[in-house]
Amino acid sequence: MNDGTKKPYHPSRRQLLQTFAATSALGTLHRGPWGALIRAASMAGAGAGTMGGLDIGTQSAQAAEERGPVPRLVLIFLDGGWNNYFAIDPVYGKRLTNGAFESVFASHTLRAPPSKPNLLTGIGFQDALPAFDSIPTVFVNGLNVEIAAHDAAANYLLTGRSAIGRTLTEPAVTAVIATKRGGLASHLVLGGSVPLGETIQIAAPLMTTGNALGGLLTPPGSQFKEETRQALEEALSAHNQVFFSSLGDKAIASLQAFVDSQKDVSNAFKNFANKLNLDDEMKTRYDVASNGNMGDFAAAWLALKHDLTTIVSIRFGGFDTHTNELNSQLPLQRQVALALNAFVADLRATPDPRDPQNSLADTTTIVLTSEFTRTAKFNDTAGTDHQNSASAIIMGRGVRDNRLIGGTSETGEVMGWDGEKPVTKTEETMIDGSTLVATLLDQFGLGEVANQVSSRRIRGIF
Amino acid sequence: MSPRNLVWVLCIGGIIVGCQVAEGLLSKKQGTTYQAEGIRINKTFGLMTPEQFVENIKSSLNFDDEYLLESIMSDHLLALGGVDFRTVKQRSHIPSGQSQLTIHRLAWEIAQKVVETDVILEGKKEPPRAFTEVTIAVDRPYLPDDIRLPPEIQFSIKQGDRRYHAQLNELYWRLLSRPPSDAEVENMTKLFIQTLASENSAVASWKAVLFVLLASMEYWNI
Repeated sequence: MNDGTKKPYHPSRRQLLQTFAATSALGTLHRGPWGALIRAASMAGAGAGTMGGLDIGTQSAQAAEERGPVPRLVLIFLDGGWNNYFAIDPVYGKRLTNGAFESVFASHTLRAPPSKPNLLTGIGFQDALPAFDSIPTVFVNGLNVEIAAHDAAANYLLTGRSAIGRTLTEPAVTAVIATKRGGLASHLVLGGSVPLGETIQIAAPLMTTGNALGGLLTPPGSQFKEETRQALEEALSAHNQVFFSSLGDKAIASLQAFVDSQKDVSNAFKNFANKLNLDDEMKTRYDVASNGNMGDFAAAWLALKHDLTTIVSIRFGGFDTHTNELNSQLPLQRQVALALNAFVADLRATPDPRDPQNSLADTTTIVLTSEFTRTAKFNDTAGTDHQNSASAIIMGRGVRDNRLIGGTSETGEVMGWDGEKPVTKTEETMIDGSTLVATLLDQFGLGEVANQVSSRRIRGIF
Repeated sequence: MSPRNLVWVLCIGGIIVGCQVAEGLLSKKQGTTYQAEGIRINKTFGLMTPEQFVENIKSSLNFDDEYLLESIMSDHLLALGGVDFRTVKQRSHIPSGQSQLTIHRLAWEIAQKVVETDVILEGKKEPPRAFTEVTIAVDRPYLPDDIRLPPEIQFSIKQGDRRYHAQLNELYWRLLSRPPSDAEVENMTKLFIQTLASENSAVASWKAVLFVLLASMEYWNI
């Protein structure tokens, strides 16, 4: 929200330079001499900050070799803008009486995990309190949002970069980290797409909208007998060989990527088959009956459990509740909170397949966020509208515990953050999507890429 | 022989030899493979776009399952190198592992739908969409063991065998714009027979054959 100290949508010169540098750097990653240089550096095992430019086959081979412990990341994005006053920025103290908030917020009982008084939670997310209690958790409020329009704001939170006036899309933070890792699936995207930018050409994720993933990972002819499936595979291979043997050098070269990617398929069918299927017990635990999309939490857990990927993005829709807030936003938040609780419990109970000494909760960082929060007052249809602030719950590996970072004012407006407490918002103290993304990239060893997104970090999260 | 007659003889002889050469080439072209001809395809291939794929299956197989066609564009656009102008503004010409998974899934789903639709139409005595040459659930290749069967049954199977080959030819023309080579006929017939033996269904065999064509490298790269 504009605090009156500067014009709306006014990017500073520094921001412009940063975004220009970021665009140029990413845009040239795989073109021209720099692309060759970066690819060569990657091949030579260059350190953190260099995005891998390896071809898919090499990446898969490399990924297969690099099976050591790696930090995992799960990004949960609530599409439409969540109402943070039901969640992690609840209404209490002076907010109860200053008239800035809908009176219904004041009637709710707020709760915090027993040992973490800083994590005061509204009624929408109280079902996740055991999760907050069980693993390190930080609440981040007061992330500045310049443009509270869905696509622009979502893009900013996911990528750390503004999409306005660009010809190239920028990749989401998960896509960038996945690109460094490579392999299939470098990145599992559930429930919707995330911006991929040029990373799609380097390490395309396994991505699905809706419930298509199970089908995608089911080998053709799965209802047939094993010998029929074998015959099917052999016939396809023989057909391709006949075609391939009729090709000249130029044609063969142009089909090399296709041939390489075919190797991934048999591995995928072998590795993925039946591993993401939810049994009845899982469906009950994640309350799939109330909301089928919550099965994506379970799929994410299974993907990590079976080491099918190290990075997962999940998108849940339905949070743009312009009408009937109490019967739309609130139940949806409760469903997510319940599923998050089950997800964290499962992570805690599951050893990391690459690091069995530790549980997946010890090796996985969870980030839950939304493109913006919603207004403190209800509109004429008892719903809420868009607010120029965003927030996030960050949990798990590397996260400091029981901390509330950033903040909004008594009237719900974004404030700055000096690393210890909320302060007046200025260019220097303002935290936003770019600083959050840069902080995450930094935490995952991509400091140089993080600097292209923002020179600043949010202090106190990790 | 006068020089004038010699010229005539040479001319007529040349025409005869030329015709024989042309006929020989033509007969080879019809019955043998590109390989046997020594023809090398040496153009640069690129992955078919999702839009081209959708149009192709609509026109070549008369495929009209709108739900599946829409899901190809909504769910698998990016995996097939498409552009949605929100997350990706540039086409990816490099197939990924997910492209392959998507190709396999779509090939299988479409093969099933096309065959099952024509089986239903066959039952209703309505014109089929893609299996125009064959009675899907009945016709099959002639097998060596068939020689033990009574002559009238053998005759019927042989007629089915001819329709089977005509349909195989038809599918190649529809999807790959060429006839199958001898090696390909052999491969596909082997698949057809194996599937028939294990699944006891010619319908299943046709699904397998159509899947191989729809998932093939040649089909997806143009």
